[in-house]
Amino acid sequence: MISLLILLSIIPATLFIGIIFGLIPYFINPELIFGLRVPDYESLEPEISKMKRENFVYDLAISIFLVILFIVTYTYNQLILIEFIPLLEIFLMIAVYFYFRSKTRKLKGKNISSEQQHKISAFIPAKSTNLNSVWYLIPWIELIIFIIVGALYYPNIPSTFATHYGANGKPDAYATKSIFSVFTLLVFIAIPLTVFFDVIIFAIRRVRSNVNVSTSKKASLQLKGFNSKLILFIILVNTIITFTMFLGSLLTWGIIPNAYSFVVVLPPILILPLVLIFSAKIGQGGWKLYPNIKVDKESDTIRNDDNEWAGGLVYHNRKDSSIFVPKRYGVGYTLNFGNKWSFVILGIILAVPIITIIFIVILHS
Amino acid sequence: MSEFARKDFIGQNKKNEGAKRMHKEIEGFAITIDLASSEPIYRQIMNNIIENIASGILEENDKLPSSRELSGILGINYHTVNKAYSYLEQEKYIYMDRRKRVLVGRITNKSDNNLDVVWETQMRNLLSESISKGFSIIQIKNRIDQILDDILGKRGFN
Repeated sequence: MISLLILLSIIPATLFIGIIFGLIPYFINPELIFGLRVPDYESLEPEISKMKRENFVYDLAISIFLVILFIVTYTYNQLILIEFIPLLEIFLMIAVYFYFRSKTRKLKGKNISSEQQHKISAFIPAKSTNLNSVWYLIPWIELIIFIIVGALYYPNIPSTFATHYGANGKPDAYATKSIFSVFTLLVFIAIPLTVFFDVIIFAIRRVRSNVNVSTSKKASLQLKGFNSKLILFIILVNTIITFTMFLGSLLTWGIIPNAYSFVVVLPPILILPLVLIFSAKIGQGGWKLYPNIKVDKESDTIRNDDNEWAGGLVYHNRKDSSIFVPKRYGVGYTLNFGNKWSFVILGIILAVPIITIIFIVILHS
Repeated sequence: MSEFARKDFIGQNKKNEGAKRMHKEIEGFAITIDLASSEPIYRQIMNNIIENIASGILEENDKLPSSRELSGILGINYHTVNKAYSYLEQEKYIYMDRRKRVLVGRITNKSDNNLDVVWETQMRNLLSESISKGFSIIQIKNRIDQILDDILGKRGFN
């Protein structure tokens, strides 16, 4: 029997990952096809559209197959397999990506123009974002309100309460009442997460186009718009996660009955369609923004920069001093591994969740 | 012309608040460098910034990117940008505040006698060159008017 919790979390997540991977080619600049720059993409038209459609069908088919596999393994109670399903999904999606990438490379063939770039043109926006700084405070205000609610309710919290729920929605770990145990989610998880999101926002404010791509006025404004919109999106995600931590706290404090433990997964599930809407409306690097600004063709010559992108996924350019650059395939940013600081940042990004987990384990023991 | 978008936009929605915000959003300045040119790159950066000041796109106390940022944006050497900035600072086109931010200086304070001599020498050389290459006085005057219009045309929305 599949619990409501599983139905509401892993199954939609698996399907959404498939849909999002399948739609990536539609979210990125039409000139970039499966991580390759094809400036004359219009001349290769029926084939490119067909590949994008096929990519979507393949990714969707894989995710549906995995959902079935998941249901089968779950009914036979081989829970170990479940952990591998998301990994398997991402691996298969990347394999599909490389399949279509090799097809694109054949299609692109001799069209590669490796002419030397003579003119550098850059438009430098007056401000790095379009945002009012009040936005940055919203997650903190939300957090403070929830902590105050917890502090006011503190006397009514039972002396032992459930702290962890199994996949079947039933509690499987308990804690005795203390300031640490009561505020684990709101203080020791939500606060570091909010700090983490603020660090991401700080980094995004400094993102600019990678150097080999010309930054015409249009491209520059689009990237600024993308950065601003993505910061707003991250603030929204932050508020949703903080709210989830609040719901989790209400559950452990006994305000929400155990039978309703599934409500905790509802807000995070909301993030998935929001990612889809964001990507479809803004486009990677904001290429769907400012459609009315015409491109000055002369300042928009782009060098063939495929060699700086290993597999179209990993950016490595020593000439570029930036650390974060817009992704080539996918929506968001990636690191420039031509800059040694990227390795430091990657280490920090990997360390944060590990340290958080160790911290929680120590608190519980 | 770089301001076509805001020109169109403002023209259509004069009373629209959204248009004003849009105008604020699309502010900024452009730098174009020709790597094949015989003119040194630091000089090209200087000229770009000076023209942006002359045309009113960059106004007093507007913030410029730091030399490290600008070198990153353009993908050129940090020392080249630094050289351009230090010359611009010497000639009082820009200055640094206490927070080490690069800001545009005042236009009116720059007309000291020393600069007039340099300016006049440059002008004299340029005009002599044009005359000796066979341009007529009227041609030269028309061209000067055209260039002035071009630079000042970027000011505001006219």
